[in-house]
Amino acid sequence: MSVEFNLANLIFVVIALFSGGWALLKIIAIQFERGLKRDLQEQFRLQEVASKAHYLQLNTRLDVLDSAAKADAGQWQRVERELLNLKADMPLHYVRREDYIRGQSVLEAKLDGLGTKLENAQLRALKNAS
Amino acid sequence: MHQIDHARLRREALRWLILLTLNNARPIGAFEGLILSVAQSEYPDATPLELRREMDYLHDRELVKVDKQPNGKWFAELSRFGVDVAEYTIVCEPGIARPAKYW
Repeated sequence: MSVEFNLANLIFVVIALFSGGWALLKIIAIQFERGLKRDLQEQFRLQEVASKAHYLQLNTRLDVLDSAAKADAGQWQRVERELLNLKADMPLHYVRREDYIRGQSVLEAKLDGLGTKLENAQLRALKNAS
Repeated sequence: MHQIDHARLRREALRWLILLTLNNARPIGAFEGLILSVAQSEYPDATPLELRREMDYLHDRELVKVDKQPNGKWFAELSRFGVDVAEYTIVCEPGIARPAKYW
């Protein structure tokens, strides 16, 4: 049995071979693309999960910081109010050192003057009597 | 009868006032402004210069320690002898009008 190819058969065979090869390549490329897409999707999903967890963690830490700052501000406000109360009460409870010294010294000077005056009066009475 | 020396009476009374004030200001001492306000309650026309002259005199007599601070204020504090004079523990030499102990 002998096989004969004429030109038309040959051309057809060549075209068939090329198309078969092309189809094969196409299938491989499509499968490769699908695999790639799947891998990427998986990776993106994982990334999203990780970033969500990170976001949640960050949010919790920020909340903690926020509440700490709020408590701190409250404490400062309390301290400030107590200081203001102290300042307001101070003049009711205390006399300035300088005021005390001034008042006391003036009083003592007046007493000295009074003593001198009394002494003079006594001397004058003695002198008049004699 | 001789004339009364008012200037002498005034400066000696001023010295006693300084001692009195500083005795009340113990143990810290006082700035001249405070002493001046006391002096002016007795002598309304007392001047800062007059006061400084008497403070310097008391410093020379070692009754008062005067710290002439670089910022221009004078800070005074009684010394041991100053305390004794103010408390009538020792006799007072002339120059200061310390009244006799009447109490």
